[in-house]
Amino acid sequence: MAPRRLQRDDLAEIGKSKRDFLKIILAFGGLATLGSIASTLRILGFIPPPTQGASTQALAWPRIKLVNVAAIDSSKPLRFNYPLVDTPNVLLKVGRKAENGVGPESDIVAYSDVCQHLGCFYGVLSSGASPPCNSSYKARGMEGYCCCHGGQFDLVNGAKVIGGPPPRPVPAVMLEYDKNTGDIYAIGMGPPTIFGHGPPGTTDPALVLRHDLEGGEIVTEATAFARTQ
Amino acid sequence: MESKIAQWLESRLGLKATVLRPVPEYSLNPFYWLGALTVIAFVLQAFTGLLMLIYYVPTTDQAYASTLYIIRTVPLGWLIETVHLYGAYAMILLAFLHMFRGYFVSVQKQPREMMWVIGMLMGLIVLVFGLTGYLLPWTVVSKSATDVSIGMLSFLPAQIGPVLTFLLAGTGSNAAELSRFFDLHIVVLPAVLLVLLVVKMYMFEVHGAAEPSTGPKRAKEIPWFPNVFLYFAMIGSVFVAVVLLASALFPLSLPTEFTPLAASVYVPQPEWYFLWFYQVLKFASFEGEGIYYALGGVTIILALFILLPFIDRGTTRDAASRPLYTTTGLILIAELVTLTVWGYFTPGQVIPDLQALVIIVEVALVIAMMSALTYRMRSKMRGLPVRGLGLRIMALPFTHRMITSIFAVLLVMGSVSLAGLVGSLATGSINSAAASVNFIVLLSSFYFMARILRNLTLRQRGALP
Repeated sequence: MAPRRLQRDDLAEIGKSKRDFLKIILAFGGLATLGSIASTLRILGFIPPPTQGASTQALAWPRIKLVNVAAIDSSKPLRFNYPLVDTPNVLLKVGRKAENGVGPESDIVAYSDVCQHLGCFYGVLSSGASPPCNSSYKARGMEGYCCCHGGQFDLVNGAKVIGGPPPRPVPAVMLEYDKNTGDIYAIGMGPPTIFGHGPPGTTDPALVLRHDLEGGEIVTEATAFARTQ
Repeated sequence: MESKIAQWLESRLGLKATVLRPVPEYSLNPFYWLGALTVIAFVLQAFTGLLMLIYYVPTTDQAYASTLYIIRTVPLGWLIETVHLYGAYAMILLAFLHMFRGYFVSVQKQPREMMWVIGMLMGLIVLVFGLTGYLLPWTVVSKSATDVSIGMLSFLPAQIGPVLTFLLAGTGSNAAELSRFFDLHIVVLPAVLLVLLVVKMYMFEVHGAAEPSTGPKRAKEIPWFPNVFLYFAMIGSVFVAVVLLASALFPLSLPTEFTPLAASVYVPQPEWYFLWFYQVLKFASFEGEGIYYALGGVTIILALFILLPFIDRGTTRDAASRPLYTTTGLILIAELVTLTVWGYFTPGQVIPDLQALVIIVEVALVIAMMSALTYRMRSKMRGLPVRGLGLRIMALPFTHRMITSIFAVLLVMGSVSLAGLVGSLATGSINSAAASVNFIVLLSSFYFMARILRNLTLRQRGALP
């Protein structure tokens, strides 16, 4: 039997089902596009690996012996790494009772050396000194001066920002003073997070602990002073 | 006569019909070869970079030492290192020149819109090349500059910022940062740049070089070999010779190695091609959270520039008939140069808002005024020959003694006020009253000098009684 020739009605019928098919494909395509955009945004969040140690052990600040009170040179800051080997800090004897101060005169403080503006390392000025980048500026006390963009911190009063662009003070290193031996220990970091670790300005203590300890090697007494000079 | 080998190659590759076809005569002009020179610079960078890869060790405790080893111990290592540095400078400078030349003669118009967009992306990649390569020697200045640029990523929205920071620099350890920058610099960026280059060269083969924006559009065709080949070889060799000579005469001296202590007493400044942005970040208004506005503003200007062919849709290409775009381009260049020089002289100093505003507005006004006067003068003298006009205008004051003396007084006044302004910028201390007086004197002396020149020119040509 010879095959039946297609009639006009048949063609319309075929055309209709083709159009329906295309519509269905388009609808699925649109849904798939929306889904993939949503899942891409979701997947982006998985690119950074989970914080080290978060799954295996409880995170805790290391306790590091820094220096004995008798050995502190009040003319120059002591530099040390804490809580990671790549996060430098400065320890100072400011000469009068200071916010966050420990020691017999409550005048020993330590702060992160990483500026909260864009992550440069600032230098410490004694009263009356000028930074290398701005000879017309004279420090009015123990100050941190960042030569990248001119940020200034009052290291006697909790590293309060007294000039320049930093949006907030640098975090303090929590110190512990042992009355019997005179030793000073670093026992943690105050808020906010160290610049470059987690979202800037995070103050929740649990998040500060998590972000400050991620992405590097936690210091030991052996590495606390490595490559600081 | 062609050899058998040449015939075989031609029949297989067909180069003569595509890449090696004749070019129009007008393209034998250095301005048409800025892009080609940028590619030569890229090849030079690849070559010297590969040589350095033999010795360089990308770890935080070896990076500086191995760089120093290349400079001090490897035979001619200092030359390789310096050529790589100056080659980078040349590449960035040529890319900027290539872009601005294209801007002023409107090469980006139909049908070359996508060439402009791709070219802008390539330019951005060249800048990222500079940024990533800068960190590799692990010097005190390069590490600080890199930390600043990574720091800026933290101001991006929370869905993107942390991910991008992680991809570019890890989560805060120096080792992760260095190894990622190394990979970007020697693998990722070259690959992306090459792909974009191929796409752009394909479009170039389709559209050819843009005709001159003025003058005749039809030109004689010049055969590729030997004429164009020799021309290309000549300007290419001159370029490489200049880079080599500069490197031999002024070899680089490596700054000290990075340590937190060294970083805290060093005054870090970015390389010259990022100084303008560095200066913007030091404006008082952009302190603290205000950095969002600086980053956002620069991003918007950049986006507008990338999308330029879809914004400026007019068909005129002649700079003389596009006062708005030409003046905007001139202002942009003047601001970039001003910010760069200013940033160079004020490391680590915050710039008060008033001072920043005065300088930015003043530069824009001076350029806009000069541009407006030039366009007015041109429109008054339409139909007169303009050849050698600049030289004749310069000679004019010296043929009229009275006017010359007035002109000289104006010139001295203008120069003194300009020097005053520049001086107060360099020291970072500005008195707003003195600055405004200087500013007014500078503007009015400019204005009167321009008027004198204009009247003299018009009188000389008989356009005025």
